Amino acid sequence: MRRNNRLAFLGAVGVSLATVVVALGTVSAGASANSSVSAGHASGGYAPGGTLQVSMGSPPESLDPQSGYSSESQEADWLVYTPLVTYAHKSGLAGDTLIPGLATALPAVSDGGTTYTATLRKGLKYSNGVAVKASDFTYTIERDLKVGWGGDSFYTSNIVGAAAYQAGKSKTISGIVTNDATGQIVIHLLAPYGAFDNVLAFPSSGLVPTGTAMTAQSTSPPPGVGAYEITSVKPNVSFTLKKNPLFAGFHIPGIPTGYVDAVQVTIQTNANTEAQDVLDNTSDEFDWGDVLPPAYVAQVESQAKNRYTPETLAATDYFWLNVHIAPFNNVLVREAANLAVSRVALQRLASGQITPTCYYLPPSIVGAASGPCPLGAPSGNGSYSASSLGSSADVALAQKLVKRANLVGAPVSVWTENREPFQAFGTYLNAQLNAIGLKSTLKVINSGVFDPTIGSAKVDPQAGWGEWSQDYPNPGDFYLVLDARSIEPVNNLNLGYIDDPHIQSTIIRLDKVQSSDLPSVASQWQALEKYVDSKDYQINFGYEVSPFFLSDRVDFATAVFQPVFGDDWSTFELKSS
Amino acid sequence: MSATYDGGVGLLAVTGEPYTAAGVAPYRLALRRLRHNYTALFFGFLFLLVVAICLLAPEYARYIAHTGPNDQHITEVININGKPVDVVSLTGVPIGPTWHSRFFLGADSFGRDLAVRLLYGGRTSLAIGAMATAVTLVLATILGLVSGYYRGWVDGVISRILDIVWAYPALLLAIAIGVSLATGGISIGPIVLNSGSIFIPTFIIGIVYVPYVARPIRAEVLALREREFVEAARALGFSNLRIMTSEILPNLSSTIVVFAALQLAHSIILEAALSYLGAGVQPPASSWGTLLASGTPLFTVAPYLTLAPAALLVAACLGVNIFGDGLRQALDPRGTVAVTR
Amino acid sequence: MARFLARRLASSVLVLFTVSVLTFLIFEVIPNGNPALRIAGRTATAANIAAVEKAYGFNKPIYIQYLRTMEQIFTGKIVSYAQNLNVLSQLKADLPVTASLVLGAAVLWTLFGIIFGLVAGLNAGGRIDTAITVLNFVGISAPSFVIGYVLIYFLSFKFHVFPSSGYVGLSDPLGWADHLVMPWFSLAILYTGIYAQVLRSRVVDTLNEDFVRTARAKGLSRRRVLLHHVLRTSISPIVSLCGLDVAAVLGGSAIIIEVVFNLPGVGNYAAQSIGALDVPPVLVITMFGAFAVVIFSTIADVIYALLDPRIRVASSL
Repeated sequence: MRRNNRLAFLGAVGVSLATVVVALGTVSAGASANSSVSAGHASGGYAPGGTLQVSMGSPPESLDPQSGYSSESQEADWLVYTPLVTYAHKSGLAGDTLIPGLATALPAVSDGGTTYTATLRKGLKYSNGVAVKASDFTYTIERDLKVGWGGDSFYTSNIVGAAAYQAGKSKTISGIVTNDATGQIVIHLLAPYGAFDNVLAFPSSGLVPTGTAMTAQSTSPPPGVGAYEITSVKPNVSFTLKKNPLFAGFHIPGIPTGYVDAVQVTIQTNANTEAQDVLDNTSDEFDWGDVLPPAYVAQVESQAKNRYTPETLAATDYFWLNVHIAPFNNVLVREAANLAVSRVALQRLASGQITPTCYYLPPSIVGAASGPCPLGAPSGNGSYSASSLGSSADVALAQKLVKRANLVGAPVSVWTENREPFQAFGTYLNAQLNAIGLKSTLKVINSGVFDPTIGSAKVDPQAGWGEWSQDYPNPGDFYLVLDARSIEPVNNLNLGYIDDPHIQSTIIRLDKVQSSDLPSVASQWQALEKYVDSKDYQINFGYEVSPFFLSDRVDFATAVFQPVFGDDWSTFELKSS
Repeated sequence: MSATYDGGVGLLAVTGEPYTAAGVAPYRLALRRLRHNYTALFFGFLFLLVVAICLLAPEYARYIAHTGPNDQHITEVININGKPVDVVSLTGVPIGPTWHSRFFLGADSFGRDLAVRLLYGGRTSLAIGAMATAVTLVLATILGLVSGYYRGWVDGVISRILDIVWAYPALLLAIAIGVSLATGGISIGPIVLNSGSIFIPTFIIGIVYVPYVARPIRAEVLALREREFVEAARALGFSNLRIMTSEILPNLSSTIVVFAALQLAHSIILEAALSYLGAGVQPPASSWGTLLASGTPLFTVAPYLTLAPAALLVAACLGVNIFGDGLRQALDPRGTVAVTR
Repeated sequence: MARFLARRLASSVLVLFTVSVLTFLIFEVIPNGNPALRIAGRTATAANIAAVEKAYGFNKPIYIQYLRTMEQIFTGKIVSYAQNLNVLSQLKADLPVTASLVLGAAVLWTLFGIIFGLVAGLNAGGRIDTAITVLNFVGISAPSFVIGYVLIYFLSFKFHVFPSSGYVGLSDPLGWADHLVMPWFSLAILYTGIYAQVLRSRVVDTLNEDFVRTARAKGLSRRRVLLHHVLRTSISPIVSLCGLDVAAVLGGSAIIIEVVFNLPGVGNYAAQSIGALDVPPVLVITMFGAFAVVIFSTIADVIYALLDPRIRVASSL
């Protein structure tokens, strides 16, 4: 080649070589980044380590697993206190599946569903280094009963000898037999209870060492077996989780060991500030238990599209109607009320953060019904779709029904609590009941005493706002509300005082089915749903939508929104800085 | 908040007016002074204007807005300049001021006409303010009169009671009572109040301010009882009750009138604060306080929901405050009854 | 003076006792306010609730419950129903926030009150006087929380000058002031108006007094007259008022401002506790507030009486 050409040729080769070197370097850097990260992580830019900054709208009432009951406390506790059985760390329906936690496998069920046998994994240690023993499980359940966990009736009504222990009549729970040498745990139930595996998966069933004090340790929670441990608590202000270095060594399949080194949770009661902080990326997570403030919904939807998803929760908002006193003991009036409630209007009152419905079970629960709602089947008015209910034609029909029932001007009190949007829901129902011809007054009760007030037989409230959010993903949990056996003089859950023999026999039969066998009886639950709907027993109006809203520091693609516990911090990975 | 009283209410004013012995009644003189105080007159008129438009709420609702204060229009669509607009958007943001007859100032999150609710709410707020003021004045006058006149242990007991009511953090007292009564109402003997009754916040506001008015009245009575005309009345054999009502009480009238105006403003503001915290007027009834409470969460996307009731509230209080100050100057130009708050 | 103080002490104790009893009774009267229901949890049965009642002593007669709670307060072991926290340690953590808020606002309102009052008084009858007077009354007529929201809207949301809520401790003085500027002004505007009006009328009165005319006739400069004669006599009511107003704010406006600006102070804690019908914190805070009022009013009366013997007759208690 001539001299010019030779230079050009060398230049071209040099450039090509340089490009290849750079390309190789990038690939190898990407590969090495990949190899230091758990499987499933494709893109670069995110790395383990760092501190996650989380905002919570209300403080957990207690981080002690045998005391805390709110979604805030459980969001932290389920990562710190692994029970024998736990849920898969996955989004959507996959997250409703139970997987073994500290047990080697899901418990074997025998004796017609009344005996559960599990074996503890070997070599487990708490975050303070103390070895885990099988008898720690008995101690944990006893602690639940002594400390008085809010859901302790799940234990006392199912496990043999639990009620006697709580009443102080015996020194231990006779129905739990453990063997520390073999690690075997045997639990005897009073009667078959298909959802007992879910009870074993509560964070309150998360093991703590024998000898932990029998009073709530809210400010210095006990050690547990989990990806993280709670290191400091400032009540009403903040708390911190740090990675538990012992956990990775146990190699428990299905439970992530966590990417971030620490989680710093700060209480931010002002939802507007909370939203602004996550928009500005000064906070990494918006409390999923909070509602996106109406002033921010449009802004978040447009500015943060790539890190915000509205998640429909397994939680239903409804209006309960007391069916054993006037006027709602008359099915025509109940039907009229159902017709007059526009689910779409309620959706706007909730700033778009409920999904309109007329069925009770949320879509993620096995057995949920779909299709047009057979409201008012008794009066032969056909079926309705949730989005069309409440039109002026429906209100006119409702007025006619009230006249037919001869109950125009009947006095009604509508009860609701003072927090928004629940107060708005109650205000709306009050206005609609007045519009169809009843004489309705609104009673707004402080949220602190709302449940005890409406749950009191002395008050015997006629109608009001209610909400049921899953304790575990099983229709039987939701149907506690419609179960005649739940009726109590104090803390009544069955606010409609519904006592229907068909419902009772179906629930009793279906409650025996194991959680893993639920799909086989889905159609029976669906039939029950349609039956309840046709009787207008309660006015279901929406499934709650929760904001899954993170800062852009977090890898949104791999972050998990667990259907039971919300934001799963053990799956959050931060941008490498 | 003590008041100073130097014992001499006379008409020998600093302005240098000659003392006219030939009966120009003190109220006549006060009226004369007031008539020349243009600022006070203007603001008094402003207050009356606010009262007038609030009283006209039903007419506005029926003829102009064509909707009531509690009528919801959540899913309604109206036409603005030919374009259809949701009264309440899908994300719950209500429409802003249309400056037309319907939804003149816009709507709230229930699709209720803000202007209509503003006027009806004004009626409630002004009514509560006026009644609470009446409660305060009546109780404070009686207590101040009795304790100042009788002195001794009666004064001691009443002063202690006033101390207790005064020492109690006012807002906490009001919220605590309001919260407890909101649930079940109260029934004492023949008095039965439903939980939504506006008499509950009325009495709370009225009682909270009693010590504030009773103390200056007591101070005045303490001085007045030493005056010659009281001594003369006693010499004539008048009963204590007669002396209190016919001799001392009329001399308190100017103080009471001044306090009436000031307390009206205080009561309206306290009602707003109480309703804002949920312890005053109960929904769905409206008052300026409940409007503020429901408007503030949407402040960044719908500021008018807060600014409209705030503006009307400030206008009313400003009007009555400045007019009240003008009254005070007219009735007592030497500033001897210095109401210091 | 000693007798006066002794009498005051006796009446203070009486006041505190009555306040505590009243608070206790108010919460007893609330229907369905049984704290055992809340402590026992959502799925508690009647047996669970009875167990909680026994453990906490809610089934005992009311005066025994009262004595027990008082004992817990004075031994420092008082625990709230809602959250298992020691109330007194919570208060200790919250107090600096409230103190920063109230004392900072007090400094501001005293300063501006004096300035505006002086300027208005010296220009009495003129246009400046009228303008300042109207401004003062606007300050008096606007509820503090409304001012707070307006400030948040303009200075925080629209123009991002100050943060809209939260509190930063004194370890970061710039951040501390940054978070408190808007709350300070929201609280101070009301009292600035009041103090300016008071000072204005005192200045006008004093300026017309003989001794001032004499001083001017003697040839003293206007400034000297102002500072040494007029200001000295006019300030005395302000001083005693300030103490009383700080106490009143503690029990009133501070609560609302803390709620609006989400400051984790005593007022916010009180509002949350009342909302949750949690008696122990409310009891302690109410007594604390009453105590503050009593102390400050005693100090104010003492100062006032010392400064002006005439007043002792009229307003002594």
